[in-house]
Amino acid sequence: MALEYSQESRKALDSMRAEYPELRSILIPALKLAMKDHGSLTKESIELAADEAGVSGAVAAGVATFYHNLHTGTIGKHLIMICTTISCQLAGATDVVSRFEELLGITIGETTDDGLISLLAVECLACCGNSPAVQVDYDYFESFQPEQCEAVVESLRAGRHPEGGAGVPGGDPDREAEVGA
Amino acid sequence: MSGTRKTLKAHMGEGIAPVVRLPESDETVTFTIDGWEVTAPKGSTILQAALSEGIEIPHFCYHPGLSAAGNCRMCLVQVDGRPKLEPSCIIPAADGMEIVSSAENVTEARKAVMEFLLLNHPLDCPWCDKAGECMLQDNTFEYSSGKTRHRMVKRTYPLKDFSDRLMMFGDRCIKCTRCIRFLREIEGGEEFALYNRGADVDVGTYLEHNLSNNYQGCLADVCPVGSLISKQFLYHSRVFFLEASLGICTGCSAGCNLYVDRYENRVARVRPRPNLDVNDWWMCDIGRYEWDTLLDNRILSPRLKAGEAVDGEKALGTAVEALKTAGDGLAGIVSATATCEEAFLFDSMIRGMGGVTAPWYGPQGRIDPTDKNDFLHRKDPNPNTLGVESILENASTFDDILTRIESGSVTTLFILGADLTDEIAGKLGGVAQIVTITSSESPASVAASLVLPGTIPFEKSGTFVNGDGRLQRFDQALQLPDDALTEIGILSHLITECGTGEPCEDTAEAFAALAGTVTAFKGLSFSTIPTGGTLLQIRGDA
Amino acid sequence: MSADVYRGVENREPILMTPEAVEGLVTLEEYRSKGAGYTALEKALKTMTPEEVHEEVKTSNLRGRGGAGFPAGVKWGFAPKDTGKPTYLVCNGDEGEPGTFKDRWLLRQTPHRLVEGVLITSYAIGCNQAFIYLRQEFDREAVRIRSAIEEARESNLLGKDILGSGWDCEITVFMGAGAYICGEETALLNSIEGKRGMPRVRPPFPAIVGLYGCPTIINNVETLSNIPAIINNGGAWYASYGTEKSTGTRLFSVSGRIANPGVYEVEMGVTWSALLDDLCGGPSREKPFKALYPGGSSTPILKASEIDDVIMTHEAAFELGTFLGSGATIVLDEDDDIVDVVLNLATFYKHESCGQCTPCREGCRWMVEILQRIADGLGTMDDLDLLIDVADHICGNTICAFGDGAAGPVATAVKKFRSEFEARVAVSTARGSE
Ligand SMILES: Cc1cc2nc3c(=O)[nH]c(=O)nc-3n(C[C@H](O)[C@H](O)[C@H](O)COP(=O)(O)O)c2cc1C
Ligand code: SF4
Ligand code: FES
Ligand code: FES
Repeated sequence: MALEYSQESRKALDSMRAEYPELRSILIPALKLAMKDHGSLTKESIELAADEAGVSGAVAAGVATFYHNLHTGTIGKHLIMICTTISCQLAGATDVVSRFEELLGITIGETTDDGLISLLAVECLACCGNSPAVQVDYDYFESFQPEQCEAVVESLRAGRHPEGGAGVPGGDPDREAEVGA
Repeated sequence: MSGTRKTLKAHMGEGIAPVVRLPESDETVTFTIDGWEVTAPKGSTILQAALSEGIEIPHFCYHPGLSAAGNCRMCLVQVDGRPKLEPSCIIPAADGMEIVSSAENVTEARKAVMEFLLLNHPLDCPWCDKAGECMLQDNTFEYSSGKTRHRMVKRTYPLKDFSDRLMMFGDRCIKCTRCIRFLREIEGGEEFALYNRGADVDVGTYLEHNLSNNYQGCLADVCPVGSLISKQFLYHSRVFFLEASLGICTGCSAGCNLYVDRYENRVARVRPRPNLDVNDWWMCDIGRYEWDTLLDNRILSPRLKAGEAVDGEKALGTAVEALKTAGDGLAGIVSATATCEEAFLFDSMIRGMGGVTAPWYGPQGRIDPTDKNDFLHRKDPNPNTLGVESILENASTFDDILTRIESGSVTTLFILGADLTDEIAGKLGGVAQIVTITSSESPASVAASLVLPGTIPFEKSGTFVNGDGRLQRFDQALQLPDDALTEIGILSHLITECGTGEPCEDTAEAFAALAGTVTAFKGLSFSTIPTGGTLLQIRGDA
Repeated sequence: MSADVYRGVENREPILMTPEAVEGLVTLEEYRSKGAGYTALEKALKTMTPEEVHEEVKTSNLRGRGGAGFPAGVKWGFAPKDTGKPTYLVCNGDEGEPGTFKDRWLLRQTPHRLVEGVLITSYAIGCNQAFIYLRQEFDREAVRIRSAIEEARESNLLGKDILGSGWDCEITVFMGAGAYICGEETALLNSIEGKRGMPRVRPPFPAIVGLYGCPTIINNVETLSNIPAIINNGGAWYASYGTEKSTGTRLFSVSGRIANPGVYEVEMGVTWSALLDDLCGGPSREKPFKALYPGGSSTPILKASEIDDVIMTHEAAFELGTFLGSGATIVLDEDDDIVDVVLNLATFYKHESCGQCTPCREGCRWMVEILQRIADGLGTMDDLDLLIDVADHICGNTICAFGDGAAGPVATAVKKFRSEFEARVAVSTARGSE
């Protein structure tokens, strides 16, 4: 059966359409919302987004495979993204990676068997002054130390957004990453 | 002026300088390339101007029929002494520009591009179909060291089987995006895309390999290397053993210009011959891949009704008798697939003996030859509708002739090239003599009392008038057996025997006779029709 | 963030990192009571023509802060008027250059100032629809910008008939999806158009054929954040900061082996030492500095000795064969291994190349292969020259400046620190002969 967007996503897409002179501009948001609603991008969910933006499945797949944060492979419900670029590397990102690998029993780039957490090495997060930098579900955890890994994993397993993120002061700490919009 | 002027090598097997479409402009710009002065319409890029003057600047991603992508970086040149090299396919030529295309720094950059392209290339020319017309191979001679400095494992891609027409050897792909641009800009589809990024970039359809468009052969054509390969030609023959002749596609009224590539006396493949007034650089897959249906059910020797073989001389004699004894019961039907010369001789013959001729367009009837299915392919399946119509004098219509047949007033019917339908053939019972000249079996040959074998287009030369009124000539690609006659030979013989006209030795003579008679063709001669054809002053469809 | 320090300009007020900004001018209320508070927008709309705004910015000689350092006023002049097509302004907030984190600071601390800068610039160039492109990782920062836009709209600072001037302007926030190359301005335009973020060939330049085929001006977050101050105080005031050709102040993101990493605002023309030693407190590990990437990982590396007494200007950097880039200074000390650093960055570029140009696509991968085997102790002496050769063959031969940024620093590093590379190769030679 053909996939559909959740009501919330559909509303977001409908309001977005008016913001751009060309329909195709909503392709990237449409792919993100497809990912939000249906998990990692499959042929079906890519086609869902393609139809929304008026492009072919091939073109949408070309876009989906271009951007790192549009995941066409297996991807967990939560993302732990560790910057391994130079400043973070100098500051010990490798130790953070190892500690997470140990705790989760997976290697970098993999997703836990229960589909809960993906561990990703990413490029510079624009947080090099407070390195190593980690993002958990797109919230910054700055000057992140291996000792903090356990608490992060525990909260995610308990269904809570981990404490200590930079978030947005005054904003909702549990706010889900605003994919797409 | 440095060194010798670089003249063009043959790329893509074109055999001649690539056909470039220059921008239309009344203003021109004049500049120099390695000291050679070049003038081109304003708006031309350096590369367009160079190629149109026959000056070689190596390139891969540039294709004259597509937008410039500027991604291969092979066409870099030095502009006005600036240290950073610029892509000649992108930079517009300007008055007084001084372009350097053969200095050492330019050559070094191109050699570097070649080295980068060959890093992961499988170098499998010995079994690659493109070898001999591969741009990578061509440029390797001039811009490669012949040694590799790469010590790691090569990147590989799985074979992709897109359809029964096209497949992809991804290891050979150089990511020039010509194929993607062809589909997007010319064919109008988005079946191909780029995937991934950086060194992992890949090209093709997504997940399922299910190409279905009518221009897949063009994808193999635009591929500058041996990545996209036409399955019909896969491992068929080395291209350098092929001989090309100029052809015209008979698939529809577009009249796409072709090269007919033959190996020994067989057609190995057909491919588009660029003509900016007709088909640009393209042709459709129907024309490219279905020509071999012409070879089905061939009629190779004359016969009488009921499959009774008859020798050639006797057959011709029978036909002459039929003409002479027909009186006012004579009628002719000529297919809109016949060449102009054939149609002219046939009509002269029928009228000379007092009959009338009508055109046959196929079971679907006449279709406006300007109606298109897409950017190229036309709805009218006949290559010569306008030619035949402009040649037939006081033509009748097929329906008129059929009415006369049904009323019993036609005793002798000559058919040239028309297939008819079973239903129509069933109504011909009352016609005493039916002489069909045709290359393959059809209801018209089954109903005939005498069948004379005709030729397929590859076996003759001639002219067609396409749906736009453009007269185009084509050459004979395949040799006929010594004793075989073409339609022109047959018709010329019959006319001479009946004493109604002069014999014609060949197509050129038949064309001369035509040009002497039919107004639209006045002043033309077969040998001087330009390879790109010439527009006739004929009334097309209103 | 820890070290949001401004101490760079002697006896002068900072322009961007005012004490109030360091504390945070997040809400409209805060921006009004403690910042410019849209007074510059009001001044521009009520007392200045777009040409006059443009003229002030030209006088200021404000140069782009995104990397290339192109004068903003000159760039604005490239957009043709009266084409019958809309003109777009795009604010580049992709901030992906390794070492750079100052735009994130501006987005978090002074979102309204950016919105005001975007609006004033739109007014100057005749744009009614501006876009702010943010990398997806700025998810929370986007919240700030979006609420600033909403607050501005509620106060008639944005939308229709702004402040009764009859002029309309909208701002749309577009989120990226993870691609460093989308910081390159034409890749960014493709990304907004829903395409793969591949840079476009020039000509045509985006000022003439940009977003949706229309004239488009692209400026960095920091560049646009300077506009309100320039309008309030005048271009001449701004140009009185810095040197003649490198005017104003600049945000530097300092990271690596430095005692106090962070974002610093310094007046152009101060010495490197004033930034790295005086403001940032020198090395973090009590080892002497060995080298630095002065303006981000795409700018050729400098030996520590090369910056003695050198001032921070575009011209001085150029004389050293490098650039101020995006103002991202990554410092290395004696214990850092150059081979490992270069391999780390080469891997970054290999991941991030869009893959369309032959030299960049193939060369970036090849450089990593060579560096990896050197790092693994499997390299040869020939590999060092090969590495320089490959890098040189990428440089200058690609569609966008990514190729230069990927290759230039590699070639420079091998040339400047050859003995370190040779030492790694020597290991392999020794092992090979065992
Ligand atoms: C590979 C590459 C990445 C870039 N990344 C950024 C970026 O993240 N942010 C930015 O403002 N400019 C970036 N730029 C520079 C932009 O192309 C452009 O010059 C700049 O946004 C113009 O704004 P400015 O004149 O205000 O600096 C990048 C350039 C290149 C070649
Ligand atoms: S230089 Fe690299 S990143 Fe830039 S366009 Fe070329 S391949 Fe893409
Ligand atoms: S290097 Fe890790 S955030 Fe910049
Ligand atoms: S032909 Fe000019 S870059 Fe490819």
